[in-house]
Amino acid sequence: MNILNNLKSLAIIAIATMAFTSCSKDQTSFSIDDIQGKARIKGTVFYSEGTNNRGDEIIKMATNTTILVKIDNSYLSPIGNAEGTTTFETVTNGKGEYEIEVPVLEGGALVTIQPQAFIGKQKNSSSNETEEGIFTAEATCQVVPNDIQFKDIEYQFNAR
Amino acid sequence: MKKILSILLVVLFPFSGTYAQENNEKTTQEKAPKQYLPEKGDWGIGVDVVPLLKYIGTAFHDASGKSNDLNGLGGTPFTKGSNFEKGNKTLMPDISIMGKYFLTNKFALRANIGLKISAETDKAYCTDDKAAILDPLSEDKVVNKIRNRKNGISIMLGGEYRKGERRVQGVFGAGLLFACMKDKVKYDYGNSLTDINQNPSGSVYPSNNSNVPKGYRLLTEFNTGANFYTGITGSAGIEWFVGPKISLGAEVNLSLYYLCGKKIYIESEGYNEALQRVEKRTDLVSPGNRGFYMATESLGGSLNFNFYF
Repeated sequence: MNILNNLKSLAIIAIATMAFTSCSKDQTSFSIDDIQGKARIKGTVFYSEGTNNRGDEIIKMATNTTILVKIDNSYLSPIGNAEGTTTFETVTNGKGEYEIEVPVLEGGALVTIQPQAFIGKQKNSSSNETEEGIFTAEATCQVVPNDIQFKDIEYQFNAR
Repeated sequence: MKKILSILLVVLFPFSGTYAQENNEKTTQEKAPKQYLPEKGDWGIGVDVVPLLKYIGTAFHDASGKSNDLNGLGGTPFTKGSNFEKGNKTLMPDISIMGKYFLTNKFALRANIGLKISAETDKAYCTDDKAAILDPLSEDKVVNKIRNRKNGISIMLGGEYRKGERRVQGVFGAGLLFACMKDKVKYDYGNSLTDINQNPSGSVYPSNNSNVPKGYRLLTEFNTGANFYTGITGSAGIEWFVGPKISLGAEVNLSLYYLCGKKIYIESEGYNEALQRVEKRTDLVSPGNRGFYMATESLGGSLNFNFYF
């Protein structure tokens, strides 16, 4: 029994020694989730269907629309030499509102917001005819950690 | 007085017997002729003595500045130094075991076998990028590892025929040659390559002449220097028996062999800008080299020392 106890003690000492002597990690990974600074961007997305008979502009909210928020990786890399972009995604609610939180380093970042393009119609005020075309939108804003930015985005109509 | 005499006789008697026995042995040894040459059923082993001569030559002075360690004492395999890729001569076994078995007094089977099995892991500390980014004062380290596995074998199997009855004999032989080797280098990094850390500290990048895109770091190199060899050899030489069943030999081979290299490829990882993500890729480097050799060599050693027992 004494021998067994001695062996147990030795095993415990060996495990404890190994635990303390391992001074380096196997692999570490610095990813976007490790960036502690965050900024919030919120706003509404809307588009115009042209004017009505009285000449008033018909504004519609872009509901349930996918919003892509893109940040160049160079803004997210502390070394600053990363290529490509990282894309975050959100969807507007029933009122055309969106809100998203993005990671930002101390130096800040230029954020590009791209609501999803769609095909729609718009009444031409001069010809009084309805045209089909593509609604596109893009906006940029500069954010820093702990920032809250309001960014309302209006779609531009590109007639077919 | 009688007691003392009897004690002396008891003490000296065994010595007198030994002396008589030694005398008898000497007489029988003198009568039996010394057997210098190997006989049927004998085994033989040999070593190349050139490394030994070099060692002795540099034992008291070291003009080259190199260490005069006794390296390479053994037989020379036929593939030594014949690997033309990157001048990588360390992959093949540098030393081989020379062995012989005498089927008759004149004819012996001979083999020259070289073997190399190695698995090395080189480790180096490297800055922990994550810790350094989150805390600029951090001195945390991670470990980068390069695992290098090199295995190789070279075999010559054949026979030899001896001519001559005296202490200097002519030795003629022929045999088949076969060798193969395998090489794999694996890189394990302490810092992961991510979207926002695309050039982690301690990364190893391929050479410019590979097909790997710029910015991709090495993960695995396959078959660099992996080849198959096959061929035949013929030899002619002399052996001088300097003592009973101990000989000094010199031999030259004419070898003819064909080399067939395996496909060489590289695994790497990097950030693909088109796909906007980190990816692993495999790139072919070479379809495999081919070669044909016919050369005079010194298989087993240009100057060898042989022992038979």
